[in-house]
Amino acid sequence: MSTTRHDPLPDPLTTIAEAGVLLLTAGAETSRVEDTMERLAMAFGVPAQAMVMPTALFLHQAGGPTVMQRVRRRGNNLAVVELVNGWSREAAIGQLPPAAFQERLSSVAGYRRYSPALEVAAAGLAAALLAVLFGATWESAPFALLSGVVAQSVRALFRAHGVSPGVTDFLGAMLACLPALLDAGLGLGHGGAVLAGGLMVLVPGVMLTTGVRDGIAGDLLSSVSRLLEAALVAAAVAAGAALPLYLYILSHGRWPA
Amino acid sequence: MMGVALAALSALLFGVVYQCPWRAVLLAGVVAALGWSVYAELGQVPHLTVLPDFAGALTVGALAEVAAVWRRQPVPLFVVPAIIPFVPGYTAYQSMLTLIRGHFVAGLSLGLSALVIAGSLAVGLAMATAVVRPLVHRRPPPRPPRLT
Repeated sequence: MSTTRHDPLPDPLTTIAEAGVLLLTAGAETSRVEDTMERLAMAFGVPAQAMVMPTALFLHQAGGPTVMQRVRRRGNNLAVVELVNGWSREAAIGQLPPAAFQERLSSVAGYRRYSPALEVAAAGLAAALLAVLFGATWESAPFALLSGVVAQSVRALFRAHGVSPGVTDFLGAMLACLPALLDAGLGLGHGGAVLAGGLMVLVPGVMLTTGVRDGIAGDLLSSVSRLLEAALVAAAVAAGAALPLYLYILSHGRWPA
Repeated sequence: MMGVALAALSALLFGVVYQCPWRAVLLAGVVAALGWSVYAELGQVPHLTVLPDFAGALTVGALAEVAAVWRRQPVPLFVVPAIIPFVPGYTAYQSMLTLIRGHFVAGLSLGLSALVIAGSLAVGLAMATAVVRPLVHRRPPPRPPRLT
C-alpha cells in the first residue's frame, strides 16, 4: 500500500491518499482528485504534490515520503464523489480535523445512496422512456423496461462477483437484447427502439463526461485513456447485442426495418 | 413537449442509477429539460445536421456549471444524468443492424454519423466548461504553492 523504507508513514498522507482513491474509484475527474489531495495536504500541515492517473495515484510530501496507491476498479458512484468533495471542503478550511475526516472516509466505503433494487427499477423505467423517445409505442415500453432491468441487474450482479468490465457489458447487452426480440417476435414492431432504449442503460456516461472534462483541464493521459475505455465499452455493448440479433435475423425472425 | 418530458424524466432516473443526491437529481432533470427544448426547437430547422446536438450539449454543460456553483457540488452530478438522453443510441443501433444485415457501406455511414453526433456533444460540453467556468468562478481559487 505504501512505499517508504525509512520511518513509519505520517498518518495524514495515508488519509489524504485514501480520500483520493475514493474519489478516483467513484469516477471523479483527475483534476478534482489532484486538487482535493493538495488542498487537504495544505490543511493538514503536510504540503504535498499529487499526481493522479486513472489507474494509480501518487502523493509526495516535500522532503518526505511518497505514498503510492494502485487503483484497479473504476465505478460510477457519484454519491461518493459528492460526499468526499463536501468533507474535503470542510477539512480544507479547518472545520474538520484529520482524525474526524479519516473516520468519515472509513464510513463511506461501499456506500450507496439508493438500494440496488431502486437502481434496477430506475434503469428499467429510464429504458422504457428512452425507447418511447426513440419512437416506440407505449405498448412496446414494457419490453424496454424489462430490457433495462435485465441490463442493470446483469451488470450489478457480475460486477459484484468481479467479472471483468468488458465481459460484463458484452453479456449484459446480449441478455438485454432478448426482450427486444420478444417484442419483434410478437409483432409489436418496435424491436429496434426497445433494444436501443435498453442498451442506453449500459452507456458509459460517467466515463465519457469525465474523459471530456479531463481533456479540457489538460490531463491528456487520463482523458485519452478514459475515452478509449468508453469506446471499448460501447464496442462490447454493440457486439453483445449484435450476436443474438444476428442469429435471430438469420433464422428469418420478424424484425422491423 | 412530450420529448422534453421524456428526456427530463429519463435524466432523473439516470441520476438515481448514478447515485446522485435527490436534490441534485431534480436539478439535473431541469437542466436536461432546458437542454432538450433547445435541441428540439433547433431540430425543426432543416439542414442543421449536428447543430441541435451541439447546442443542446452546450446548454446542458453551461447550466450544469451554474448549478454546481450554486449548490457547491461537483459538476458531474448535473452533467452526467442530463447528457444521457442526447447520446445517439438509436443511430448506433441502426448502424449495428445495417452492418449485421451485410450493408457495410450504409452501416459505416450510420456509425460515422453516430460518432459525429457524439463528438459534437463532447465539443458542446467542452466549450461550456471552457467558457462558462471562468465566468461563474469570478476569482480562481488560490492554488497551493508549488514545492520542490
